[in-house]
Amino acid sequence: MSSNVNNASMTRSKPTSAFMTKEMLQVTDPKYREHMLEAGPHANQLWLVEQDEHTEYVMIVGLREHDPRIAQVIPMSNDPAEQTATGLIVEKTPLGIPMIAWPSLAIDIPIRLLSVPLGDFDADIAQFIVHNDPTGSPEVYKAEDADDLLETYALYSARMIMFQHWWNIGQHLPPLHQAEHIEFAVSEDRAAYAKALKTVLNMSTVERNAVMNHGMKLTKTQQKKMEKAGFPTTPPEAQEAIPDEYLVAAEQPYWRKELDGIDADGNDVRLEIARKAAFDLAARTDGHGQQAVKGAFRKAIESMKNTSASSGTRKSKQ
Amino acid sequence: MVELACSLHPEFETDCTTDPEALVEHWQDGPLRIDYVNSLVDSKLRSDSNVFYENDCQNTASDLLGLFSPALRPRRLHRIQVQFPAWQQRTGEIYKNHRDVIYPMRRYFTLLHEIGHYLQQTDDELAERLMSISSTNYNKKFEEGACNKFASLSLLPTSYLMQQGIDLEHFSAQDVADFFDKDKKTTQHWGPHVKVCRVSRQVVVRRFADFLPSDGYTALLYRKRVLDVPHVVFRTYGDGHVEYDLDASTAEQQAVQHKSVEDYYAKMQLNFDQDPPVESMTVSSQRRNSPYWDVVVYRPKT
Repeated sequence: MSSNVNNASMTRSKPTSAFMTKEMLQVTDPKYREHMLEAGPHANQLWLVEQDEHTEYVMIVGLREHDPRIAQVIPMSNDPAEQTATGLIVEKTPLGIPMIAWPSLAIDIPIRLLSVPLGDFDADIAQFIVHNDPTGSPEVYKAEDADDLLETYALYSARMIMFQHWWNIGQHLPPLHQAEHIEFAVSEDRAAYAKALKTVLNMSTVERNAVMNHGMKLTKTQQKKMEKAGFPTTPPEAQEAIPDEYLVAAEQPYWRKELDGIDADGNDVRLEIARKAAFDLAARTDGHGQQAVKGAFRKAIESMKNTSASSGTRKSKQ
Repeated sequence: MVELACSLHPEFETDCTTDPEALVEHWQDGPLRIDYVNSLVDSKLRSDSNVFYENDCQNTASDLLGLFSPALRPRRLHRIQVQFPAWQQRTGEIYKNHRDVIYPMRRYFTLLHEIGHYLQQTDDELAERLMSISSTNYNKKFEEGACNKFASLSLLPTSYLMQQGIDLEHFSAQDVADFFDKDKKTTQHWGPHVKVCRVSRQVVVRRFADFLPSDGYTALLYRKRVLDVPHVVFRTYGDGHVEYDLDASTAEQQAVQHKSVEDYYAKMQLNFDQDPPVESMTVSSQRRNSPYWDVVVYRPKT
């Protein structure tokens, strides 16, 4: 293992804690960040991926056409000591410092894991990375094994395992195209149950609607009465299909900061928010443009935060 | 729902078509309370799990316009809250702009929309229909659609439109635009020197689609400048479905362009006798401050 030009190049360029390139200054500007988060992830971008204590750089190759919640990414690193012969050195990056890319590790991960947008690669540089082409540009060339081969490849393996784990998360997202399977129909079971809430429990119209459509629970006494009358203690469930635009919106990095702070009682907070946003979109149900969806999300997040805050009060109301 | 509203309050149709402010007073009886509030952001009702509300779906959390909260124990009152800007106080202060016209139409539509929720949730027959729908998606869509329709029909009943002399079988885009412009009146509430615009341009354009065949439509288009390609704010079809936020079709662009030229010739007092490019489409273009609003009526040939 000997030091080489490549290593020397990256070592010379490695930033110290006191050194910020002008590109770094730009991408860490809060207004820039807000703008990029609002625009959403796209091909050729550099992002920081974060989950719990794990952080990785990635270049986005593109969003999957069949599911825009998934991005194909290429792992990267800004640490020259981590380079391996399987990677490429990229001199020209959005951070203004050389980085290592591993096109052979390209993998799909859910965009919910994207945390910080860090700028765009030049389109031609991005293409050389995507195609693992070290010959197309002097700014993209083959990496070499670092001095400490064992440690480097241990890190490489650990990186592979981490990305594999993130890939697995993407395999368990709620399915898209749910709404295609829902048809308009009247349920006789639901109609009968709604009637029984009146005839057996003498409930008012609004109370019956609250039970049937808004999750209001019957008291123990009411449940017993319904059971005695031959009805279950909860109404027959209504079919529910969250439209794709809400499922996709819930995964956007734009909402990550707010969603990470919400306790959804062990449920998938993104699914809960998507459900709330989809079914709380009052008066604009025919208009599902981006702005309409965004507004509904804000409302849903606020509502969930209020619900968490007042959960003690809600229990006493019941 | 309109019939139900009229049966509960016989003055309902008159209030809606002459002075919707009177709705608040007339419906404030029994178990319903209606309030205008400066802001719904801090409303305590917002955290109720059964609140139904309308908003603009803009980017701010303070975009709520109205909400309906049904009476669930221990509360005995159903509550409607409608937001309106501080300068539109109900009593003691009259707002005048330089044209002496005020535009509370958003508030009126919201109020009627929330009254629609009140009717849906409290009338046995209406509520049972909602309770028996087998899918949450359709349940919500049905209720919200019904409340919008209720508001639209209440503000613009068919009989009222006919009384204004509109031929509902053969109206043109100009008829639609003229109706919007002329339907401003003085009311007891705001006083004799102020004209009130009860219904928004959007609601008017959408309402007229109800009188078209199922594949006909009315559309509202928007241009910043006269030569800009128009953008479709919405298209409402005779069968009720609506498309939002689209590029104008070639036919619509041609029709708008033709109208612009026609208007120019009229302004120059020149003769313009070119045939319209799309026979079944009529366009009315109006400039309001800086943008242009184009109303399109498409009536397919039978």
